[in-house]
Amino acid sequence: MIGVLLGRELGSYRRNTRFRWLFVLMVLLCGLASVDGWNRAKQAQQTRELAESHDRQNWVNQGANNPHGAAHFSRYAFRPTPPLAAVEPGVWDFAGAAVWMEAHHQNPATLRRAEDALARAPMATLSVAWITRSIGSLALLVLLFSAVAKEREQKTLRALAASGVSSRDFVLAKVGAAFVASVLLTVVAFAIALVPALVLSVPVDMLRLAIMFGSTLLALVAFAMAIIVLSARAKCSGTALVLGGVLWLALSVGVPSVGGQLATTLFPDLDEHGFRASIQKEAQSGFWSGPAKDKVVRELEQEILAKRGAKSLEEIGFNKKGVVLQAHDRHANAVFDRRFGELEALHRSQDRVVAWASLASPLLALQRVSAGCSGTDLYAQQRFIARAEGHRRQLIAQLNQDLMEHAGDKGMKYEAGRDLWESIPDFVTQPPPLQEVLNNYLVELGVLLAWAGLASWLAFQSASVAMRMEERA
Amino acid sequence: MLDLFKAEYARLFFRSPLRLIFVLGYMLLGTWSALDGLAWQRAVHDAQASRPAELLVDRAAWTKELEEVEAKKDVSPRKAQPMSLTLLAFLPPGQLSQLAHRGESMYPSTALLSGWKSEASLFRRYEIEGPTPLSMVGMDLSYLVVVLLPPWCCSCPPSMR
Repeated sequence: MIGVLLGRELGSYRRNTRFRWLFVLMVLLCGLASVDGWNRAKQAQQTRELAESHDRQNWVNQGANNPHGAAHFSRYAFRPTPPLAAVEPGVWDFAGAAVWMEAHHQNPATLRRAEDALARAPMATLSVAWITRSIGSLALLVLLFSAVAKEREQKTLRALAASGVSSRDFVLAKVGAAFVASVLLTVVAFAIALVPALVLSVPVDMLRLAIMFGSTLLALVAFAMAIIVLSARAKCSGTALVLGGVLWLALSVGVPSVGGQLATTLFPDLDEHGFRASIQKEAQSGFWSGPAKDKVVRELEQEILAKRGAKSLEEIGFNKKGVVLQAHDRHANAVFDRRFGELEALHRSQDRVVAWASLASPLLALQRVSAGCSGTDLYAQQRFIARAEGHRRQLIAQLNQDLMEHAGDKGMKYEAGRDLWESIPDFVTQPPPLQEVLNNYLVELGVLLAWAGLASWLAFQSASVAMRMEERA
Repeated sequence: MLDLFKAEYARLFFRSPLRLIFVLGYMLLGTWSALDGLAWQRAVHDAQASRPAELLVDRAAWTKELEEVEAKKDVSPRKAQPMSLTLLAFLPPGQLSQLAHRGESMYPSTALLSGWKSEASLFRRYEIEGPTPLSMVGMDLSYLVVVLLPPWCCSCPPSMR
């Protein structure tokens, strides 16, 4: 019996003109977004490779130069673009793509892609993930709002009850058909998303993609079941459609917007001038014209002498200026750790507010999990910045070391050559491991499971109640 | 006429908790967005009022150097160079910008002008705004009216229309 009922449900889906149109629209939009996304990711990767290559050429071909002069000239760390950014761009467009690894300064990441846009669109970037979340859920709303309500209106529910169909079979058929529709939408969207990757032979991490697929399915199932609940409880199909529309609007647009707004209301962004001025004061003026210099230089000097077993820098031929420069970096790095640590913590707090807002929306939870799996979330951005800063410190220390050891009496007139520039490693970074990503999104994964489970249970209960009421009538 | 208006008003807003929640929710979001817009506008004004001294050349010291150069004193050729003068250009927020400020925090509202700096470094600034809220398409009044109001009205309970 259940097979017959399921077939009947799926047949009615097939005949639903509005759903067919929305499905076609979703397929078309997914196709466009997929081509655009992969093209954008490819362009970003090519631009990065080109910029990296130019940066390296400029660096190794700078000619004879003082190591400290070279440290001010320095190099850039460019953020890699993970392949799945084509499917879910996350916060990538709103976060800096390059870090200038300059001596004495920790520079924040710059060159946000969103700044190149002529005007901010009222909606998020067009991506396969966004279309699946928004248009996919809208298609499910159009498909399912009348699932139970229309049966009641047309008295077919009463006829089914009279013909001996059990409420269990009826509910399983309704819920099962909604599940099949969710699976269909998810499979189609991901298949479209993957076609350009296969054509372009881009290697894709299938495990990450599988988690994205599973999360999308959970979110769509949760939404579909919520619509079944409304359909079973509403007085008529018109009311079910309206309430479903409100739910869709709230979950796909309202909660993310309110979450973002709440994040900056509770944790406002820092004033850029104030932040820069405080770093200037503590890291630069505090050392060069403050009391910190002598103490830090003396400590570093003692450290070098103890390591080399010498009594004075002259004895080992170390240049004092190089020691002072390295001492400053040591002093400034402590300031950077503190100030940029505060900034990082602030951004994490803002992100946490949005994470808790996802309790109210499985679609927002899905967006966050997708961004994490794609490697385009805040965590990946902060990891890139931390790696770039680590590389900067290593690079500057290497240049200062060369100045200390080889400048001798020439001081700042000493010049190093290509051997030194080539000995400095290029910046390389990897996306966060999947285990770390999953640990970061436990709340969101829990939200998806809870919504899907709770909504399915409620759908089951509501449809059973509706059927029993008709049986009694 | 007035009685009819009152009756209609009461029917629309006070006889259904759902309708009331709709209207109150929208009003709450509107108030929050308006207050947020005002706070943003005030923050930009404050930031522009407190000129960053570390970026600007001390004009009095520069004038003194110029006087020394004109008096043909033996001073460094680097002193009192017009190229060294710096100016801070401001773009104050528009009169009604509090109504549509979404995403504006990403763009610079000041530019440091100096003969030594090229066009590329005019707007060099620390991009320290949180990426997560920036990517979440935050709200302002214009967003509420242009994007949320139409579907909100269409979605409100049918008897309200």
